[in-house]
Order: sequence, then C-alpha cells, then structure tokens
Amino acid sequence: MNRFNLKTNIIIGLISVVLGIFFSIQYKAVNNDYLEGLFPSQRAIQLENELSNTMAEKENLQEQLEDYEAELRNIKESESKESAVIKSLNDEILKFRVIAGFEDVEGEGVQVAIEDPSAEMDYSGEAGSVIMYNYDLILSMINILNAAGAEAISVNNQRIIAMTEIHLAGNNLNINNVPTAPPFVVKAIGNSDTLEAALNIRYGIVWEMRENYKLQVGIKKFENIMIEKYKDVIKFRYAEPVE
Amino acid sequence: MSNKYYIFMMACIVGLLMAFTLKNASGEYRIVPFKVINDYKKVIEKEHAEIKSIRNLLDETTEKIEYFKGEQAEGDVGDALKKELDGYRASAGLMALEGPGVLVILSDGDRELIDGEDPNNLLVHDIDVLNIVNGLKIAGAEAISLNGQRVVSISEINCAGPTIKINDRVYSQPYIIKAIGNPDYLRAAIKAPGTYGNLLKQVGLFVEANTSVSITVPAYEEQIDYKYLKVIERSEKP
Repeated sequence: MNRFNLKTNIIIGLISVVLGIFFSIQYKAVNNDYLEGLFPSQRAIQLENELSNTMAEKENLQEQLEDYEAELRNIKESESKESAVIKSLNDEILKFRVIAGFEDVEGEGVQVAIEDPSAEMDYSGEAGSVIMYNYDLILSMINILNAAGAEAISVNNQRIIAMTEIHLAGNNLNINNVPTAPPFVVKAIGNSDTLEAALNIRYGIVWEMRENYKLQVGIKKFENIMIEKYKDVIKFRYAEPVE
Repeated sequence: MSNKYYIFMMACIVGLLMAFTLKNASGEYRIVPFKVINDYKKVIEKEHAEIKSIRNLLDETTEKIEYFKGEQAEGDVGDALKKELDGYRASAGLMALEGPGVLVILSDGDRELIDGEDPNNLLVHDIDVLNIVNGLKIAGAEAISLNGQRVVSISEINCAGPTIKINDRVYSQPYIIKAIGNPDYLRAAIKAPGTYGNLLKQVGLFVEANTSVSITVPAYEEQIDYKYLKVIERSEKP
C-alpha cells in the first residue's frame, strides 16, 4: 500500500463516514427499544389481531347465548296463553329478575363522568390514576345515589347488584370480576332532579371529588337512560334457604 | 489491489446497512410506546373476563333448557317454574338465607384521645361501613345483613352520630354485620393486616370478626315499586 493517491483516500473516507452514520442510527434505535420501553410495531399489530379475534369470539358466544335464552323463554312461556297460573309465574319470575339485576332497564336518570385530574392539576407527580386508587369515592357515590332513590346503577356498564364488589387489582378496577379503567361513567335511573341535587350538595361527593382530589366530574340529566343487565350467573355455594 | 478489496468490502457493508435502515424506516419495525401496548393488553383482559361470564350464562341456560324440556314432557312446567321463581327470589335478596360465614361487630372507639386528636378519628363513618361491606363482597360474601337489614343493590347506608340508617330504618350502635360465605376468607377480609377493618382497629375503633357455622340473613323487607325504571322489551327473534 505504498502508492496512496488522494482519490482513493477520499473514497475510503467518505465510505467510512457513511458507515459510521448508519452504525449510529442502528445503535440509537436499539438503545431506545430497550431503555425507554418502546416496542416494535410488530407487537402492536400482534395484539391488535389478538384483540379482534377475541372480540369476534365474544360476539359469537353472545349470539349463541341470545338464541338459547330465546329458546328457554319460549319453553317457559309456551303455556302462558292457556294457563293463568303459568302466566302469573312467568310474570313473577320477570319481576324478580329485574330486582336481581338480570334485565336491561331504562328510565329517567343521570349520568356522571369521572376523569383523572388534567395534567396541569395533578400535583402528586405519581404515575397512577387518582380515581382508581380512591375507588371508595365511587362506593360513596353509589351509596348517595341509593339514598336519593336510585332504582338501578351501573359503573362503566357493570350493573351494580347486591353483591357487586369494587376491587383494586393490579392496574385495574375490577367490578363484577371484570377489569375496568378510568374514566368512570356512573349511570343511575331515578328522579333526575333529586339524583343530581344529592350529588351536588354543598361539601357532598362531587364537591369532595373536585376539591380534594381535583377530579374532573360532569353530571348530565337524561329523560331516558339505558342501564345494562348483570351479565353473569349468581351461584349460592354456602347459602341455603332458611327452613 | 488491496485498496480495491477494502473499498469493495466497505461498500458491501454500507449497502447492507442502508438496506436494513431503510427497512426499519418502512414501518415494520417502527416503535410503539409502552402505553399503547399496555392499553391493548388491558382491553384484551377485559374481553376475556366478559367471555368467561358469557360462558357461565351459556352453561346455565343450556342446563335450564334441558331441565324444562324434561318437565314439559311430563306436564310439570308449573313446578319447574316454581323452582325457577325461588331461585330468582333468592338472587333478588327476597329470601332469608343461612349458612357458614362471619359475624362482624363495629363501633366507635373508646380509648382516650391523644392531645389535639380529632375526635372524628374514633367514630364510625359511612365510608367505613361501605369499605368493610365491600371487603366482604370481594371475599365472596353471598348475602350480607347490617343490623338485621338485608343489603341489596338499592340499600343505602347512612351513619349519623350514634345511629345508622339502612333501608330507611334507623339503628343504634354497635353495628352488626353478618355475611354468609367461606368463613376464613370473610374473616380475613376484616382481620388481615392491610385490610380496612384492620386499619380501623389500629386507629382505635372497636372491630371484631368471628366465624360461625351458621349465620342467618333475613330477606329484604321493603316493598319494591319502580317509579322510574322500565324493563326494555326484548324483540322476539323470528
């Protein structure tokens, strides 16, 4: 390599610079992936597919369920026309199903939306949902709505039935064993003026949510609001009727 | 000569790297923040929980269809319906139940206040009872009563001074909560460190929980008349 000429040197130099640039691009990309918790979009695409498959499975099962439920209803009500006793039994069954929470219902009522503090208002500096960690505010709101005559309540479309729990588990709020996440939408059927007034009393639950926790709370009254049924079964494993 | 080989090698490497980098930029390997991945996972978890519930309902419904078909063949639809009715009456809270469970006693604390301590600290508030009842539900309680009143979906719990109002009835302290379920789980929900019940006890309130092989919980007594709620009519499928 005695005869270096300028041209060759320049070419080698340029190529080395370009090499260096590409190396550094690759290094940065890899660095980011592992240090700041970024994922290749491949993973997002995988999850998107898993989600759409799961949702399709759910829709399928839901349709099956509706078919079977219709078949069961037909059998139960088949003799309602001929027999007043049968008809009255079926009516009573429906009445108790409604009280237990097994039917979709609608009527006058309110809807409350509860969101975490907006970015500027969050003084805590912690990562984590304020409303989720203070879920007993939701327990309190449900209680206040009941005291004000609410006839049915749901939180994020989970019907609140007698034994409904609100359980902070991991990064979710489990209601009826179904994970839910903020924002929380509370629906209630009842006299919309009474319900709204009970929520808004001075130093009441909405005041507390806004003042002490900086939550964003909005209340809307509705002439007709729909509340979904409880979508699981109730099984008694320990309790039996009293003789 | 060796110069040319050197340049050739360099050019190959550069070419490979360029191709790789451009592939990155094309989007297949574009990066997506952790939050998006996490959100997907949460929604998937929720869908799975809902699928589980639907399967539970499917199992129950197919069982009932078989049962009713059998009864229909024997002309006993009426009897089958009476059994259904009892089942729903129990689910609605309108039937007295008994079984193993736990008895919880809760009342204001009577220790001396520390200098400057807020006396409110030693009093039982609504939120205390709500949290304890919620804890029992998380532990699998199947039926709960408070001072002899059945806790149902529309029950309100209001503490005012020395009394508590539930289902429109007023009772004085102590507050007695009965729950039917797995006695050990239920007791742990009140006594285990880290629970709300345990916290109240440490603050100085009176909190006791004892398991029992036989707890009786009465039926909800009030008449339920809906003034605003209407059932949504199901459209019959053709």
